[in-house]
Parts: sequence; structure tokens; C-alpha cells
Amino acid sequence: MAEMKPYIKTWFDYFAEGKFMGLKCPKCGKVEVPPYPVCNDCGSTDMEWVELSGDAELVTFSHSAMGSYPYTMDDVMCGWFRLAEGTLFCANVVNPPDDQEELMAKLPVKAKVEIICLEEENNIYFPAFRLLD
Amino acid sequence: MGAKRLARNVSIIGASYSHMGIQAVTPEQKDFTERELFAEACIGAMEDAGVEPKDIDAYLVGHCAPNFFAKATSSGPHYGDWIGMHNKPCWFHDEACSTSIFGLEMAALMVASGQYDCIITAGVGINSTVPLPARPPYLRKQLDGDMFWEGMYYAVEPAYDKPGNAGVGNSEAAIVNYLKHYGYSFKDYDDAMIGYLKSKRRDALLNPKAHLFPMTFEEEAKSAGFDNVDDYLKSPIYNPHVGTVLRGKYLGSSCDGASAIIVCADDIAKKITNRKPIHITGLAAGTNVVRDWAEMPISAVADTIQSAIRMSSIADPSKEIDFMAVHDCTGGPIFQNAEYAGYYGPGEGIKLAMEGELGFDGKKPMNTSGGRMQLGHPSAGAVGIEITEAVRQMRGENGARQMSRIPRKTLVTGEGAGFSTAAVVLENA
Repeated sequence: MAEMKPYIKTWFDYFAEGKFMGLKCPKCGKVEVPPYPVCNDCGSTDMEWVELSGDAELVTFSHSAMGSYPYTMDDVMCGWFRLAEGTLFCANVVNPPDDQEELMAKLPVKAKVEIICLEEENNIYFPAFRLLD
Repeated sequence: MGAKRLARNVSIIGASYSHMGIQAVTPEQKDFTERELFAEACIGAMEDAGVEPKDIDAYLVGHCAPNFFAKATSSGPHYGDWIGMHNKPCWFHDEACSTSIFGLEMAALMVASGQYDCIITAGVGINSTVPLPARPPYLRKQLDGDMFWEGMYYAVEPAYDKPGNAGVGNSEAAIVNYLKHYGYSFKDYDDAMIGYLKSKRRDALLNPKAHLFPMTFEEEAKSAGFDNVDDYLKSPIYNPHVGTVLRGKYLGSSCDGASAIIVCADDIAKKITNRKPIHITGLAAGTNVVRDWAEMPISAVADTIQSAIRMSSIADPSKEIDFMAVHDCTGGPIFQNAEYAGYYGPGEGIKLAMEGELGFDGKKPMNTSGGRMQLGHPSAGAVGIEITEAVRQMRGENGARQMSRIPRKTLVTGEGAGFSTAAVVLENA
């Protein structure tokens, strides 16, 4: 039987070390980001932590005035990224452009992960992405 | 593998929904609690079916985020005595905005299993106020912003999907994808949503259960100092953007209300009601998470819709689906879901909306109750409203909003935060 581990805490702890991590399935190669103990493509439970490149492409987005509670109630752009490892991942965009219609026309747009500090005293960090084009 | 079939033929024999309003001010529901709204919808469904509580074996109660909005937990059995179900079995569930279509599917599957013959399933919600602690629940306070956001926060997987998803983010991700894919502009989207809003306001004004918006858009625009509706609905003051393309009025109008549906085995229905049964011939459900909304199409939603269609007798959706309802609590799925189903052609939804063809008398009607934007959005009861609307359209009993051609086959879809998605095909006998 697969040994269960604290996946969520482990993932967030890696952010505090400046690492963006996922769980890779050695059987089919799928990378689960965020991490899950089971591969959602082939069902394997034999998952291994791997450090991700942090390279991605923005495929769609939403710039909302409704914030991203409880992280921020200010307006924020959320991006949907295709990671270089193939997985879709949702995170904030640190440098949203003013012209969103132009951004839509340019999709997909290259991006790079940045680890953002949310609460230094509680050691909480999370991933966001900077648009490169 | 062949298409799946229910093990027993099952139909909707009754459906209804309460008045939709604001519990503190709408006269038709003044001082109601969730219980009165639930009873109004359920007793209405029993009257619609011509059945009595003794004819019903079990009941399902759906409530969206009950801990937050009703200050109640595990409260399904609290509702039984309100509709004559004393001591009968109850299931309590929460799939957010899609709760009532999931209730319909669960009830249909429970009847098809042979365990029960007739089940009533209802969704209820009061979104405007919350009960005071340790007081009778008619004593309430306004729902404050912090509580609303806390409820919203927990409806999106808090371990992994925050930050990264704002209030309307997933819906907008799908819309931006759709616009990009078909070469539409943000202005095209505005024009389509304004066309949709106009047709839904007209539908809602013909609906005696609608109480949120008592005047036409022309009257509303004039009262705000505008000469035409389009300028009013593009005004940053009266309809401000809340996201990349969504504006305030392109979201569901939160309200208080309930809906109820009675599901019965066909062999039993003949014995307890003279009403024309509306057959459930296809049903399917799926789930996804926030990051999946970047797919084009959104696979869980498209697969669910296609599964329900395959299960039914529909061979060519573009010709056979006569009417469709889509959960429109944001202006996203209106076009996408109908196109996944084949009710609209690829990229056609926006054009139909611009041309005002989605009203009850349009070429491709949708959400003829007025939908979530103009009739109102009571959360758990939401999709049950449109199921009721579909049943009445198919019976030819939808009053001033009756389609000129009575639909023979209809498709109802629903999405709820989390995210849960479901689709049901209904057919006339």
C-alpha cells in the first residue's frame, strides 16, 4: 500500500526554498502540478517529486476587480498557464499589461515562474508568473 | 460498449419554483425562512403533479454552502415535516449552483434502481440575509461582504486553487479562450451580452415569479438619464466591468428562492397522476477544477453534455434539440455549452445573442424564465427553475413565455462551483 504523506505542506515548504515542484509519474511521464498522490492519467501511485523548469505559456486569463480572497482584495490578473512539463496550471500574473485585448490577440505568451511571499512570519509562499513577451 | 440506459423508465411528473425575490423586501416572500421557500416550491410541485405527500417515498434537500448562508448543518431532515414527509428518508447535498440538477439526477437514479418509486427533490437558498445565532430563523441580518467572500473562497479548492482564481476567473478564462478561438472582439462580447440581457429582461417581465426588475431596460435606462439601452448597459457607472470582459449585469442577480421536481417511475406514474410525464432519457455528470477551464472545449463539461445526449435517443442535436437551458450565473456558458451540445453551431451563440434570438420567441430560445441574470439566482434551486421551465414548455403550459413550437426534446445543463457539471435530456411522451 502506498504510504500517504503531507503533500500540501511539502509543496508549500518547497516554495519557501525557492523551488517550484511537482509530482512526476515514472510510468507515463505525467507531471501533477499541484501534487497529488495518484497519477490522473494512468492511475499509478508511484509518484516522484521533481523540480519544474518554471517555464510556461499563458493560454488564457482573467483580470478581475473582485480580488483573489483571502490573498488580495485588490484587482488581480489570474493566468492559466501550460507548463513546459505539459500540465495546465492557474496562478496570478505579476506584470499584467494594460491592454487586455492586445494580450488576448498575442496568446499564447511565454512566462516564467516567480515565488511570491505571502506571509513571511508564517513562511507562506506561492507561485506566480511573469509574462516575458 | 452501447449507450447506457436507465434500468427503469423514469419521468418528471411535477415541477415548480417559488417566487424569486429578496426575503426582507419582496412581499411574496416577506419574512420567509428557507423552510417556507422550500415548502412553497415542493407543495407547488405536488399540486402540479396532482399527487399528495403519501404518494412520495423519499425527499432530497439541496442547499449551497448551508453553514454560511443558512447557519445550518446536516439539516435535510429539518425540512421533511414542512412537506408531509415525516419520518421518510432524506438525502442532503450541495453542488453549489448545480445542486438542483444533481438532485434530479440522484432522484432519477434512485427511482431507476427500484428502491423507490417516487421522489421529490428540491434546492433552496436565501442569499440576501443570514439567521441570527440562537434565534428563530426569521430573525436575520444582512449578508455582509466578508461572509460572502468566505463562502465563495471555500467553494474553490483552497489547498491548490488559491491564489490564481478571482471571483469570476474561471468563467472569464473560458470566455477569453472562446473569443480568441472564433476571432471575436471584446466589443462583440459586450454586444452579445447586451442582446442576451434584453431578451432575458423581456422573458422575466412576462414571468409572474420574477420580482427583481419591475421595469423594461428602456425605462431603466431613461431613469438613469440615457437615451438608449446599449449606452446604459455599456456605462462604467451602471454596468461596470468586474473582470476582463464581464460586467456587473453579466452575472447572476443573487436572490432568495427554491425549486422542486417530482420524479416517478413510469409504471407508477400511471397510477398516481393524470399529468403528462416528461421522460428523462439522458443524464450525465462530471467534475473539474479551476485549471481545467483553460481547455477549449472544457472537456468535463463537453463530455458530460455529450454523454447525456448519447444516452438519449438524439442522433442529430442540431435538428432534434428544440430547447436548451444553461446555467447563466456568469455570461460564459451561455454560448459554449449550447455549442458543445450542437444546439448552436460553432461560434454561433454570440451572433444569435447579438440578434436577440435567445428569448422565448427567438430562433433558439434559452432560459425562458429570465435566467439567473433577470429572474434571479437562488443558488441551490437555480437549475431546477430551468428544469421546471423546460417541463412547462414541453407541456405547452408556459403561459406568456410559451414557445410557438412545443419542444419535443430539451437539454438542461448546470455548473456549480467546485466544480460540478451535469446535463439532462428530457423528452415528451
